[in-house]
Amino acid sequence: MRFPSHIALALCGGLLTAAETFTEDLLVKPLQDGRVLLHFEFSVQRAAPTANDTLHHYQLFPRQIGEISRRYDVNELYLSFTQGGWREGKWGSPPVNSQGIGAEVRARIKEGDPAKSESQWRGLTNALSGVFCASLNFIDTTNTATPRLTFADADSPASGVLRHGYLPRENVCTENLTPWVKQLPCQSKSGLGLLLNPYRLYNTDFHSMELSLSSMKDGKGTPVQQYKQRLSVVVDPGTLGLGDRWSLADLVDRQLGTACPVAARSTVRVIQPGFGLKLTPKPSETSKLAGRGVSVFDLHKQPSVDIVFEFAPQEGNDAWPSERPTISAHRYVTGHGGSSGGVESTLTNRGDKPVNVTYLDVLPWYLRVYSHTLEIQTQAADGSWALLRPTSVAFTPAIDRERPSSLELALVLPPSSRTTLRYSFDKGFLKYTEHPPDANRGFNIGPAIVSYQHDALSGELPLHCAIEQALAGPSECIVRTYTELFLASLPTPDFSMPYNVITFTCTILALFFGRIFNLLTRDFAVLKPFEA
Amino acid sequence: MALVLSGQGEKASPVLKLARKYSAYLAYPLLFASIVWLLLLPFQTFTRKGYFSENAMMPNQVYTVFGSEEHISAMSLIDTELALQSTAKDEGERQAGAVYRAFDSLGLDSEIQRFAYSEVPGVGSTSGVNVHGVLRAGRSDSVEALLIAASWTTSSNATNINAIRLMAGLAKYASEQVYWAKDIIFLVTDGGEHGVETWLKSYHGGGGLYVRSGIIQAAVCLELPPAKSYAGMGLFFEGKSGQLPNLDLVNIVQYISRVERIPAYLHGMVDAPRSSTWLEKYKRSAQLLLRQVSSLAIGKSVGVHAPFLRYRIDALTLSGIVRPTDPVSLEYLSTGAAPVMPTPFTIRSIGRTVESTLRSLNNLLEHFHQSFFFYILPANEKYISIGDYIPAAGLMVASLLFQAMHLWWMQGSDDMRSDNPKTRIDRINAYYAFLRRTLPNTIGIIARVHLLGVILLIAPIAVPYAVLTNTTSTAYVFTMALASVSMVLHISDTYWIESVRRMVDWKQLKAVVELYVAVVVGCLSVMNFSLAVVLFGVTGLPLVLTRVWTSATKIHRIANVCMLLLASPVCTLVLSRAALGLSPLDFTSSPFRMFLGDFYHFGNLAYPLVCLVYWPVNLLCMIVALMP
Repeated sequence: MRFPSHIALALCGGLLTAAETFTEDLLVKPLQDGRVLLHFEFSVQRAAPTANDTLHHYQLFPRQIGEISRRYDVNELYLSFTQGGWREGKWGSPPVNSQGIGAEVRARIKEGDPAKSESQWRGLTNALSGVFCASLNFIDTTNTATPRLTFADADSPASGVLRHGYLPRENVCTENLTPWVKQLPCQSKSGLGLLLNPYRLYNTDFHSMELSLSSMKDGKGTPVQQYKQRLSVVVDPGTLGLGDRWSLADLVDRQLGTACPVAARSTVRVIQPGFGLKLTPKPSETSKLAGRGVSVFDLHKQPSVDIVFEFAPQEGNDAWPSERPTISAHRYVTGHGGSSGGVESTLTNRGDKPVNVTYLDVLPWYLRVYSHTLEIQTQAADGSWALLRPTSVAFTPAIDRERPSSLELALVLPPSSRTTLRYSFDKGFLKYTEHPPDANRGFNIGPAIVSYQHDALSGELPLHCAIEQALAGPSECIVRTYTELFLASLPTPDFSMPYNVITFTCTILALFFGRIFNLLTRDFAVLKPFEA
Repeated sequence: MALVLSGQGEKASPVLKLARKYSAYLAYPLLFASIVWLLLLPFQTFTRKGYFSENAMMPNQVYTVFGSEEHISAMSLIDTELALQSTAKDEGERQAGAVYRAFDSLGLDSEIQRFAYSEVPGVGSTSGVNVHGVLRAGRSDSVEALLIAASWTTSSNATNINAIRLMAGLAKYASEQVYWAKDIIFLVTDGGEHGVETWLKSYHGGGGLYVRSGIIQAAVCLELPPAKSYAGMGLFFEGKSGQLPNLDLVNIVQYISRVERIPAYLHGMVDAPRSSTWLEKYKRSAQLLLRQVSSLAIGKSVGVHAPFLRYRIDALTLSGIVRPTDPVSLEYLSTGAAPVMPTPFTIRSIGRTVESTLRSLNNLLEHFHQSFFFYILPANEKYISIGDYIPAAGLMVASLLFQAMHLWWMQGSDDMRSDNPKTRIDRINAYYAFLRRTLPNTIGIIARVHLLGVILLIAPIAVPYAVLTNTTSTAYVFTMALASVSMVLHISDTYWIESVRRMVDWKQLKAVVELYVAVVVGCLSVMNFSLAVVLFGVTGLPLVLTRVWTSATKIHRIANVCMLLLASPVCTLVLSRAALGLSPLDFTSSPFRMFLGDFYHFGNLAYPLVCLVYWPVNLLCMIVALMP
């Protein structure tokens, strides 16, 4: 009886495979400073599960994610782990929309009841924590925000509550990569997954691993669920001892094999810097991406291809077009010492049109932000300063040990301007058990997020949008720029001091206090018997 | 009330009786003990060996690689760029442009900052240019940074181009490595301490600086005067207002530099050899300690590290020691041309010292907090902790307090002190009447003299022209001195009149002043021990030693006033000017003006202390000596 049921299942699976499509792509982009960007993108699409679907059958779509999504009522999920800062001055716009260092989780939970959706969110982060061997379970109410403006444009129709949690001190390592790779249909056995060599992927200047689950409608209007896994790294051939001529295999220390058999598309795309790069062998086709030539190598047609990159000797950096994004954002901590401080953010608009941006800064409760200290000034190209009024402000004050403060601003940045935002905070006292290990280092504070819509702007299309449009077709382009983290050094107790203080105080009390008190308050008199 | 009233024959405990009996003499042994304690400090037996508290740093446990061909050629990039910048409008711009281009070509995020400052509030304006480059640590979260700084001129007014060349070499080295956990900032200024202070102010939120990194955890400042090779390095660490870097930083730099064979000596002073006599060793230690004490008391040191300490950044300066016969140095002194680079061996040693220090600091997981922040260093790799030297200050304060106690008991006429129980109530009434009569006058005298101090403090800030130049500031000080002497004569003369003689009592005045000085010295000693000792030397010591007899003769009074004049601020300022002019600090301007500038820019306490404590207390001492 067992045998036929297996056949039945296999047949059933075969039928379902048709509904699930998997594509894998690798983008290689030589950067201005000699480094190379590798951007892997794996995507699975399936028909959205219906409410009466009781089979819960998964073919290519990772079961873990499907189950998590169903159990916690999440149809929009985003998780990323990032290490190293993205240097836009040298590398241009990033290939992913999130470059904030640390771990970020974002999910839209359908459940409307706040208490229930809170527990769903807790469950979700704990489940993800288990799946990806990360400390995501430390995301609780104190570091979860519910932004109203910043992600309002997110993909799906706004149903449910969007929650956003951030762990700025999360390190990414192989233990996070392994479960991520396991979710690929071909894992690291064939296809582009073969190139995911942890030894090289973690010896890089920038490393970002992310996954996103989204619900959308395909071309025929049927609801589909899309699961994307992206991995971007910036490798420096120089530190690997590679000169002007190297191959992809040299770069990642793994040889490319055949395409993943179940992949509908399996390509390596090299973005041409515009000059001086010779590729061997010849690509299967060439196309365009954001105004640049792209050489496309189709692994189905050219299996086991090893692309050799040969750079002509450079004559200075002048030949490289400036790829700085239109809007850039930086944030720094100001002040010193343990009692108070502030934040200074600089938003630069390099374009020639005003840009509507939203600015989101979520600060933990122990940085007590004073909203009245918010000061926004903008400097025009001619150097004159002017006050800038935000078009809308959403400030949620913090509650101690319960909720972070979150500041959201909608701003219109004037053309070619530099806008400076300043606000101050006092540093709260923590209980001594609330200090992390290495308490004197301080706390990492997550980035501020500046987001805007690129479509109305002139200038080069940001890389992540260009990739999206090249791989999946036209879509609107929303850019989120993440600022740097900062370190908040809070007043730290000397952890051995309580003991010293107790012993010291007791000694003083025991030996001196009584005597001095007596001296100051009492009279000594010798009474003679006849006077008494 | 027993303590306060016991002088008036209140029945007191045996302890109080004993104290009353001997309090007259107790101040002097205590004073003597404190001086002996200070003199004992340079003895090697009382010092402890330096050690590393922060185990994470692991000094000198890495292979150092600095000194390759590329690093040396990156160093000469500065000279190449300087030659290319011939069209710049002034020397500062030319240097800044060259450094900027060199940093930029080495892959650092660089920025130029132009600034102007006035040396003394409202007087003169000097402009300068800062350039800094940030080397971003790959893979790290960039929330922390280390800093290497150099000024274009050394403290002895020579060019510091060697240090800036070395920074370019280090930038090249650092950009090749992958192990940085913290960003590295290279800062070049042409404004010395003022340039660094301006930069730090902007970096910490003053605006006008756009290329930034995270919290700066430590800074190493370099001073490499023109030379072929160096006999070693001088290590300078004193900040303003007694601020010191964590002892761990000093220790690791000393240790690393010794291993790299270019030892960093404290203040450039080599220890007395092992075989020398105890006296030799003692003299050497005492000399080193004296240098530290004077440096900390006036808040001046070699190098540009002092402003960092104010921003909670541990910092020190390494300064190359030039041999007197060095050919390159001699050539530079005679021609003033850009000096050639030191020998590759010297460059390698210094570069590797900095490299190894950076690696150790890179290992830091936390802000420096493990080791001492209060210490004095009697010899290389030795230290005296605060627990060992603070008793000296305690004894000083105690001697003041005991004398004040004695004087308070002894104030007023003798018939207020008797043991006769029959007259107790009358005595107490007389005592209160006495206090009500004299105390307002005493406070009035103190307030009047302090008013003069306040004027002295505020006038140069309100009317900057008073201290326009060194000459005018000297004239200002002497004018104030004349004003104060006439005030002293007036006040003390007033109370010689028979009718008002009973309104004051010199014992009460002296006791109150002693309490005041004791409080100031006591508080200051935990912040800035050196300044506290110096302040005690010029205020507390004359206070304890003058007017010790109840009925002073004319000769006593003259001797007292002469001694007080010798310890007066005007006299010490003149003397210290001579001393400063002779010292390697080469500061020939008026110390008063220097203190004022330091107070204005760096919040150094010397200026307000001179105006509000030292000057008035000296005058009060004179008033006490001259009073009936």
